[in-house]
Amino acid sequence: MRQKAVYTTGEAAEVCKLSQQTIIRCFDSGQLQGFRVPGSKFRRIPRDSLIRFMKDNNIPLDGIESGKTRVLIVDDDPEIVELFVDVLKADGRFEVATAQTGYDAGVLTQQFHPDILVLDFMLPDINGNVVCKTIRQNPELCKTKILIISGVVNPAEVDRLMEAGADDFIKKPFNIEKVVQRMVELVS
Amino acid sequence: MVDNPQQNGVSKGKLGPQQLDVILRRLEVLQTTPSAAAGLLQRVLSSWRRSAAPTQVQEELAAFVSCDPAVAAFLLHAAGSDSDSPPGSVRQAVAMLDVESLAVMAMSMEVLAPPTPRRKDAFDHAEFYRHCQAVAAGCRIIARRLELPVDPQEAWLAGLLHDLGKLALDLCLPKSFRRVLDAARSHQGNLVEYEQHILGVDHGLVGHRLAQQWRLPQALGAAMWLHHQPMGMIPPSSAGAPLIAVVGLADAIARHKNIGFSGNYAFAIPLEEQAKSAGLLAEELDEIAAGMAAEADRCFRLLGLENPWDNQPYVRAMRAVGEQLARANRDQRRATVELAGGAEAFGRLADFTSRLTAQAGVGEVLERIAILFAGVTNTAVAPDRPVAAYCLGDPGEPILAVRYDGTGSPSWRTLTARLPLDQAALQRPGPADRAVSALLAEPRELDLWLDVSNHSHQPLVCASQIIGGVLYPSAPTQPEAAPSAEMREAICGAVALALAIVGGRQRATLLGEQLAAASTVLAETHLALAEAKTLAAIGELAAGAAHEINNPLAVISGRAQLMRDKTAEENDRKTWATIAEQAQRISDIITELMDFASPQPPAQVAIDARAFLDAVTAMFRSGDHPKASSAMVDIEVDEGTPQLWADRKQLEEVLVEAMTNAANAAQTDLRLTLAAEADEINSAVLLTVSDRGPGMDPATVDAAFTPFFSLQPAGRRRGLGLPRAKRYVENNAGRMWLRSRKGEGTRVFIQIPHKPG
Repeated sequence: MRQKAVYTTGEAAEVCKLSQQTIIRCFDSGQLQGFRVPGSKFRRIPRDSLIRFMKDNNIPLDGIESGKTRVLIVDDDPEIVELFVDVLKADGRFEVATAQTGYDAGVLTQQFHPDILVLDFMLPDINGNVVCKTIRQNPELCKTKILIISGVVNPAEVDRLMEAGADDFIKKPFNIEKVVQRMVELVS
Repeated sequence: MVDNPQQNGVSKGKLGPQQLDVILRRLEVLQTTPSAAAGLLQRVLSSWRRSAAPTQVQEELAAFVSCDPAVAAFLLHAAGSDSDSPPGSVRQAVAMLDVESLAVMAMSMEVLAPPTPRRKDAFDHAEFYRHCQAVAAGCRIIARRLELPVDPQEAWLAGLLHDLGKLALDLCLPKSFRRVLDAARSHQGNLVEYEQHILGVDHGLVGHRLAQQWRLPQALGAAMWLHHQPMGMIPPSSAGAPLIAVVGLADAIARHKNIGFSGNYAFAIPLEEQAKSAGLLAEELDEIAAGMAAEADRCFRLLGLENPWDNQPYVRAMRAVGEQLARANRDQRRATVELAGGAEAFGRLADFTSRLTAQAGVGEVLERIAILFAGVTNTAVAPDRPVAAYCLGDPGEPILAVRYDGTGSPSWRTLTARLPLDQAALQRPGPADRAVSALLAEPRELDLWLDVSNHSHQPLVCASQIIGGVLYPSAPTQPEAAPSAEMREAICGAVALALAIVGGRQRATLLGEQLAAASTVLAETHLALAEAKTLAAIGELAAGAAHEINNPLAVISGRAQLMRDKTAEENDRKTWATIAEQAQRISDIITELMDFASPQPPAQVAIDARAFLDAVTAMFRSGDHPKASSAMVDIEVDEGTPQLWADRKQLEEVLVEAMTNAANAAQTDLRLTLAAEADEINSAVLLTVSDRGPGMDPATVDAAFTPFFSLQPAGRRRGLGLPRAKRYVENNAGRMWLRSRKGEGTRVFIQIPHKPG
């Protein structure tokens, strides 16, 4: 599921339920950050700055968001990823993105702005605690929750993950209901 | 010696190698001229009488012997036969023999019979001696002149003895050898060829065999054997090569210059060539020959060879030496009488050693030493005349002492040694009181046990160290029969050796015992280490397995849960639920195994025993064991039970596991007693969980802590409960064990350190 990354002034007006003129005025005054298409005068507004603008002006986010919890599943085992996708889609309350490496996870986090990361601890390229730290260092992602799910249960390792910024830990194999319940609790 | 080929087994007049050996074996001594024998006897006699300057006497005797090949060879034979290293020179041989042996040697030399007018002597002994003397001198001169790596004394001896084979042949096969000599002379030929032709052997080989049989130095034997060989035939690298070459050259010079008689008339190689290859000029040969002739002359006169057959001086000298020997014999007999006195003492020593067994300890040896000394010093022991023996221990160890007074059994004491010991003072025999004050840190220790005021001290010394000693009454009861001081020393030496050996063996035994104990500890440590290693390996394996297995298990379990939720049919729902649960169970086993193999380091805190047992009981009751809720649990905590020092969570699991184990075994209602008491010896608290269940048989008790051992039907329980509990207890520096008997219930003991400080 791909999110729109860049909006036109018309689209932004629709999302914000404002007139296009108002959007253009705010764009030109600098209140709404954006850029002009090279070689023309068309204005373009990245999703990040649109969300910031809406939040700053107390405009409800319903228009830009689906109203669903955005979940990024990160696991190198495709079967696990598929299981989560099936479970969360069937549930209906979630918008799901997936990654199988730490690198992909980083890129997608920037674009997708997930509410919660369901993260396997042992990834092929980087360890889960590095992913945790990277996310926690980014102020824009300060509200993103991290739920570690792993087959390795070394309590010392779990402690380190919690220190690195993880919000909770669940061991594989897991009770699906409990995992979903915990995800909802974390983001609410 | 009879020249009888038949008797000597010679067929067709020729000798085979074995026949030669048989003939030479009979050759005990060589013959010399009466004049030389007389000279030898006179010199031996004078050396006997003038004991003042033995070195000079020995030198004179050696110089005389060095002129006579027969005497020199016989002397070397006599000196070498009783020695591990045969003498390398006449001087050494003289020094090795005492004067009595020299006299006997000189007296046993055989004397040649003078030639009779009827039998003209083909073998002129006097001139043959001159030849030998000249070659001896030549060897020494050449060796020095060419600076060869040959000892001049050895060179002389090799020259002197080079034709020893001829003397032997003349003695053993006189008629045949004379035939050889006659043939060589009449043909002016090479003697060696005639020897081989007529006798089957040449004098070189005979000399070599004789040298071997008489244990003469190997280099001499080689020179005797090979001096006729052309120089190029002998490998220059062989050890005796220079000596052989020198002898060959000197022999050639002597024969060329007609110094003495060799019996040989031909030369295999021209002298000049031989000299040239040796590095000598023709002019030098004359000079050497002159020196050889002069030396030979001197030796010739020294042996009285101008008049070799005069028997009178020989007979006189024999008589004088005989008288001297008789006198020596008388002295010997007197000494024997004196020795007989000491023989009794040695008899006692023999008795002492024969009673010592291989198992004898230091104590037994000391006791025997005391008894031996009472006998040796001719002391009638009595309560007021005791003998005491002692043995020193290692530095810092006490002295072991025994007192023997002839009544009853000996009495024993350990005494404190003075440190450091004055070895020098103690190693001198003397008054006992002086020795005691040097020996003991507190001499008063002897009061009322041993009065040493009239005693003497005899130290026992081994390898220059005092190892013990004997205190015995100074005045013997039979002074006339007491052994001499030397005798006592000799006995003490033997006794000290016995004591040292037994002491050493006792120390070795002790060391062995200590080593055995150490090896037991080592074996236990080894086992513990092996177990620790095994567990570490299991932990690592389980951790790896956890990662690999939990992912698929998560998929299985997750998919099963999804299917369960989708299915309306109740039976199918149950099946999917079971699959999910069993996947979870597999995962739990791995987690438990991992935890068993490498439990988390304990977070130790102070725990109050009563509160803890109450909490554990509550926890157990609220658990899911069917017998838990109805269980009757008594808690008994002793007054003054200290606080426990352990990881609370781990200890809780241990107790719950012990209780669960009792619940599993219980056939009726579960009744348990939890108790806590101080275990002061181990700085610990002892917790016990006792049930009134059916108990276990010994095999079950032994296996109770073995992982995956379970009395439960297969699949019902994993059997990791008690082993993991034990691991937790050991993880908290404690110990866990159980006692159980069929029909008497089971008691689990958990020893946990108490709170430090």
